[in-house]
Amino acid sequence: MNKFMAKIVVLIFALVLLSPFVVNAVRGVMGSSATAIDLVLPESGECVKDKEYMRANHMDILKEARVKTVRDGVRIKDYSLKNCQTCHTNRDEFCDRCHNYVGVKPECFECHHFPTSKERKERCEGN
Amino acid sequence: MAKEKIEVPKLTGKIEIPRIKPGAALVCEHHKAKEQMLTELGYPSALVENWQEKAIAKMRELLNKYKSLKLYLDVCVRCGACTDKCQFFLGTADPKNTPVGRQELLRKIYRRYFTPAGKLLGGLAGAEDFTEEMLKEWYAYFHQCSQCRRCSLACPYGIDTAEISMAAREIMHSIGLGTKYTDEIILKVFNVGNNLGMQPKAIKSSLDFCVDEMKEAYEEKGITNIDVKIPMDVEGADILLVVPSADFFASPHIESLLGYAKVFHQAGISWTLSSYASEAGNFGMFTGSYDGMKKVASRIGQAVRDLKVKRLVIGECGHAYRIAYNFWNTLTGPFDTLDPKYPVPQHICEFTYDMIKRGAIRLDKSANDEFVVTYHDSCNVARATRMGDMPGGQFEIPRAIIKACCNKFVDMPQETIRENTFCCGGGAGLLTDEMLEIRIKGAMPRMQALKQVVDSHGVNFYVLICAICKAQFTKIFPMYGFPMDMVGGVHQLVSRAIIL
Amino acid sequence: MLSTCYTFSAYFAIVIFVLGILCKVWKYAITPNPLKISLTPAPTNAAGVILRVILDASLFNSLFKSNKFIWLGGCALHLALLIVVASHIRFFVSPVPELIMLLQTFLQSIGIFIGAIFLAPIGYLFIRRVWVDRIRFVSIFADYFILILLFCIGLSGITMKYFIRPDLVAVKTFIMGLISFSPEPMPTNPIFITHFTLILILLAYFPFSKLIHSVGIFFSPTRNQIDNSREKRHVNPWDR
Ligand code: SF4
Ligand code: SF4
Repeated sequence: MNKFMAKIVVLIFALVLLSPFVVNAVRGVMGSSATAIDLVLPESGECVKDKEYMRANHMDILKEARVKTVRDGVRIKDYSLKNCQTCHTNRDEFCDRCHNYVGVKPECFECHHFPTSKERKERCEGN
Repeated sequence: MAKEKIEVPKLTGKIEIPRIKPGAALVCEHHKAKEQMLTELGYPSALVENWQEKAIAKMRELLNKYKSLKLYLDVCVRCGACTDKCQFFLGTADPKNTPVGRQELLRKIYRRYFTPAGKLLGGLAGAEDFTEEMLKEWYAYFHQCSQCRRCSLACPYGIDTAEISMAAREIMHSIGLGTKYTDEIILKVFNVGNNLGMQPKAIKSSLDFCVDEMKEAYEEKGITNIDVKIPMDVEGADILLVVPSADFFASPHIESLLGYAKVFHQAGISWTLSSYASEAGNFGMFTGSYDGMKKVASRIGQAVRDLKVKRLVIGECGHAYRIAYNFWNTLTGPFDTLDPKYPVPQHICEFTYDMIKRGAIRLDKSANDEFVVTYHDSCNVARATRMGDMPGGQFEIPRAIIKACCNKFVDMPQETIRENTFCCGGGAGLLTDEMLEIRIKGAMPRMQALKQVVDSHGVNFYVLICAICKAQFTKIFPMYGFPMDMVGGVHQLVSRAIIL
Repeated sequence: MLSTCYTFSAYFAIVIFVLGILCKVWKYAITPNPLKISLTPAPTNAAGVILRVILDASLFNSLFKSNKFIWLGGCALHLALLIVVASHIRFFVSPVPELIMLLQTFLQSIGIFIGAIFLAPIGYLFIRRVWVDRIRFVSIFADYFILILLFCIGLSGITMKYFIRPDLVAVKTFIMGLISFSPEPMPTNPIFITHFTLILILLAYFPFSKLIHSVGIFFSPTRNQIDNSREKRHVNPWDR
């Protein structure tokens, strides 16, 4: 392989290896912090457990509540999705922001309805 | 080793993977090349004092010259897929005769002197100093590789241990370590022109004798008008035929030479041998030396020009055909003066096959009725060359010729033929008496496969297209209890069947 | 302190990884092939050769023909690697593309299975390496080291997914910070720190290890040369 071809080959490999950087740069977020997520948080600032715990493990709590409810018929009021909604009123302003960001799809909404801010507004107007 | 009685493996018809016996084959060593041979070849006459340094320097040079070497030393993952593929491991059970085990001998040194991990971590990174014991292992094991490439076929990255063995042999040569057998032969080619060291006169008289004998044989059958000739040094002939020099007088090689002669005669094409290029083989490859190989090959280009031929055909020889097919064009080409309508060079089997297809020669199958024939794919032909236009023609064309020459043909088990074929056990410089033990053991897998078809189909004739295979098998067959004259060339069958 | 340290090490590892591989690629690309050494039967045209290399690189064609057991282990391991890498893409792009989301949903639904298909082949290959005498004989420490390293990476990953969870938003923020050159704080979950450290080790070790086979496979002359020696003259670059 001559030097010219070799350079092209190296370039191709470089592009592949640096793809995370390249993609990011192409999407125009280079150098800027594209990462701040602003959640709409309730004023009380209090949850059923502390914030750090909730951030990492809320799915366990919800799952536990689900299992208890469905299998044993015991409702844990604190951990019910309904209870969440009392503070976190809009799904798109709370759940979806992080979930979309890290690419995790919650299973909750396959059965449960958790209105988005738009739906809520429409409903209010309708009433 | 030759003194003790060598135990010949039992034939069961099955090829089993042995439990390892480390060091089992270390004692089998080639005789070392004599001082004066090495000097004549331009190498140091004995192991040089600073051999480590010299060897590393040579290795550096080769790493920059051969992509294969550079790459293959890096990429092996020691997956083990090649470990049960080498006939010399299957035969000797020495794990350093597994392809990867063999490579590791060089790779350890490579890691130690050329990779950051090896320099830093030494043994932890699989690196080792180039010690005298290591050199001894190099000498033994790298000369126990027949460069057959069966391992390369098995390897997920195509790692060709042959390339690594060649490099190791060249490095050893550069510090004054070579094998007597191969060096002697290369010198004979340099000085006389062929591996046997036969002078043109001797070749001529051997050929004359052989033609006379053939005529007599025909006369006994009442056929008198035979005028098949074996011409030599005929300027302006259409075809230059280059054959391994063993074809000039060794048995059964010479039977095939008669076969070529008859085919040319019936085809009505003028042809000639050359006394200058009287060797198709090229042991330069066995030492890994590019220059040596080139010097040997240069005789071919010279003869083509001198004899003003139009076509170049090569006789039955495995490694020779590999070199002819893949390397001649690079080493001694371009062959501008030759007729581009024909492949350059062309294998004699391609030529004969063409003649059969065109009806230019007629064959009487019944002449070989006493035989049940099987075919041994020679490793170099199978895995390093092609015949005809289609990939795999190197398997089909010889078989097609055989089937045109006889009524009873059976193949040995699939996993031992075609691209999976085993080496005869005598290639790449092993064909010498002191290596008899390795040759016997290396032939074991092939013998097992043969045993199977001998038992099941009554095979009694074993044909092939390689001079080294022929020499190796005629020696080894009796040890395994097969008759020596069971071995023959494809053109030996042609020679018997062709209607003159 | 932790963040600075890790940001620095991460860039360090990435630079070694990328430059190391590119150096190898360069070396492999420019080292000449003096002679034609294609392993026949080989394709007689470029398209055939490309197909041959692709089949070898993707389906491990040659390995399949030569050893089904190793092929199985190798395939499982590489497939698992592929899936694992794919399921990590979501940490490297923002917003997450639809396709990756779909994949993610699928992977979520098969759950713990992913972890198993990652660890199982590693275990299998490890056992095979120790078990088969001739493979054990040729193995060097580095061969075991890689398997152990991958195993630990997998194990820490699984632990994070199912047992000791980090704050994923913090994790992604950290990674996005790295790849957009605007460092963010390092998450403090100990398992994440372990996982991340091991990966940096893997990256920095990659170019110097046998893992370079992933690049080398594309340069192997016995596989990527066209079988046309008679039709086209091959010239040795250092012997013209
Ligand atoms: S098959 Fe290839 S990669 Fe595997 S051990 Fe043998 S040479 Fe190494
Ligand atoms: S080239 Fe042939 S003889 Fe040499 S290691 Fe490979 S399989 Fe064995």
